[in-house]
Amino acid sequence: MESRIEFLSIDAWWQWHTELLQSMLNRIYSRVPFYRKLLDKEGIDPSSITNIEMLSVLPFTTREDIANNYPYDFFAVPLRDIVRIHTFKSSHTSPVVIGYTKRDLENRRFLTERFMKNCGVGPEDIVQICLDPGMAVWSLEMKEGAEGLGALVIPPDPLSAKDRIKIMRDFKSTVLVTTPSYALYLLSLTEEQGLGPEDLSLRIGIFIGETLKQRDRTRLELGFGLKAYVGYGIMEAIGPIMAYECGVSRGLHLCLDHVIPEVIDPDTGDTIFDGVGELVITTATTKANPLLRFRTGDMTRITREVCECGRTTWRMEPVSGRSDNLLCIRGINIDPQLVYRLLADQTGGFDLKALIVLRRRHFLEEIELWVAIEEAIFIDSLPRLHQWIRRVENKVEEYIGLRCRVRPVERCTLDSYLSKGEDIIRIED
Amino acid sequence: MLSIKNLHVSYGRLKVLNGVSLHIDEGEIVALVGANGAGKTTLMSTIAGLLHARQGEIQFDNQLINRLSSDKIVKLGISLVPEGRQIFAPLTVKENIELGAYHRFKDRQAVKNDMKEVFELFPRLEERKNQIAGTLSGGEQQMLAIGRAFMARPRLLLLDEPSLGLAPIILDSIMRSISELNKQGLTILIVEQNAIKALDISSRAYVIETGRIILQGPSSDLKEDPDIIRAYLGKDYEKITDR
Repeated sequence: MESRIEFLSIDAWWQWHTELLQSMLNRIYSRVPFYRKLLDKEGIDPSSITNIEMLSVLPFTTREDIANNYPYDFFAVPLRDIVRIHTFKSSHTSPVVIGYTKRDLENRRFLTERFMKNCGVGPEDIVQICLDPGMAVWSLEMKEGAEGLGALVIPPDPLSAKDRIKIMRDFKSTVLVTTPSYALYLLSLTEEQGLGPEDLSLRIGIFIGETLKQRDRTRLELGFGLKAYVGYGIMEAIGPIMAYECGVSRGLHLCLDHVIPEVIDPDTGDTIFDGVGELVITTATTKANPLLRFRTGDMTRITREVCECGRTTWRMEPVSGRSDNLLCIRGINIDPQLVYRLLADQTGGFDLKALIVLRRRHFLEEIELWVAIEEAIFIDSLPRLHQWIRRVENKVEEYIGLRCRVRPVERCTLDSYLSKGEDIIRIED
Repeated sequence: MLSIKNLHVSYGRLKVLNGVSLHIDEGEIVALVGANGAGKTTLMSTIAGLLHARQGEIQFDNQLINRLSSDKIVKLGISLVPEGRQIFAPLTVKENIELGAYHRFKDRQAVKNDMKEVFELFPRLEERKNQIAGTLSGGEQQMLAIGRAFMARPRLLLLDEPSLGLAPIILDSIMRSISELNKQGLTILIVEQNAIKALDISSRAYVIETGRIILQGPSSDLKEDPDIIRAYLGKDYEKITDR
């Protein structure tokens, strides 16, 4: 279903966004302690913001701000109106906490449904969701979106990839929801088993959490016999489908009825109208946790030209990188500092030299932690050393939602990388 | 059809509207809800040209109407049913209705046809057409005020607190008539303290609080919004954890 709002004129969007920004500012100024202090500090009276172009004079919000205002100072409604809270690990002292009212959850579900319906998902479909545990929140939302359309849903279960392919064949899944890297991994397994598109029933691939490169898209579409659609979202607001591809597949339509996006120079903070920069979003309809000029860290470009599909919603290009040091691994954003902090917790604060290694094997990126053998952790008992390693691995997995392999290495091995200023290595197997 | 950008309106030094922006598309019923003193009637009066804004713009069909007099605004197609009805009490029902078409009285046949339409919409007014307006009941006066506004052949009808002082059963009847007018193509902006009734008949709504818009959205969403209930009961929360 194409809702009328996605086809508004430029003038209508200007008016709409001006109204949404003004009412959002009025709300956050009177109800969110953090924003009241921030706007007062900047000397900004909400009623002085007369149009959407003035967005650029408003201050930014970062993940650090949200973590530092734990637990309540970012909420715009009383706790009684909040029906769900998601918590995300952060490298700061407190977790990042995002609350949702009933209306916020309904909006998220609506956006997911709208995207899936646009992809052609319907009551006759069998939707198989294959996302890592670290993407549990989005798994839930994709599940709810598909169920809202009447489809049969197979949510992620702790099955092996081979078992997932078996389920896909036996239950004739028609829709695959996963990250591009996991889809390539599944494809490689089906090819090993001698399966082709005629052996599967897939017709739609919904890819979220990572950028889908053109050559990978072609490979997946030919290999699985499906049409690929990409969705984009951030954990802190709106949900997995803040932007999505239409059938034309030239960029992702941003949900302008729920967010006001812009692109900035990450170093200066200046707005960029035509060029690649960091995506910044202002939530327009979020009640519990509105965000003003939230810096996503994702680098992209926005085009305001009308799409061939007729939609006038702005489109963002696929994310080309990060402006910060967060790593995106299989759809999960990981702060390297969090990993190093977890390691330090296991060494009683001893400053152990370590290096994060991202190893790409069978299309999937795996995270390893190379740890220098030091006397502090050198344990004169192999079982005890293995126990220590398992403890660190489990702790990291608990926090980031991905398996992490810890490898003790010689100090000189690490030094050869660290001396070149490299603190993260990528290896292609 | 109507777009309002950053309206600031004051009574002397008392600022009543503080940067209000909203829009109404053709064919919609849009509600503006808010507690007593929020600025609803001030906004209606400003659109109708009875008050002038200090700052901001009002555009009707892409034409700036901020500085126009109220009679010119009526001729453009905006008609106000004021708060408290304000019918001409010493005149008859028929005379009140005729006065609504004052700016086009030369077109007698058209005026006659329109009056017939008003009586079809409100048969009770036809029964009492020669009765003195001041002797009508509250509900009948409201019907008369709407009928009078309709005679101006508006494209946008502004309804200011139509529920004021009306019994629920009469109010339901008035609201049905308003919906009927909308189905016939009339765009409506309705301002109401009775938020539920306004949200029932409108497709979209704005919530105004102390002269500022704080919320907008589909009326079906706002009906369940706790902020609306709090705004009306005058309740606020003292602590975030108030349950």
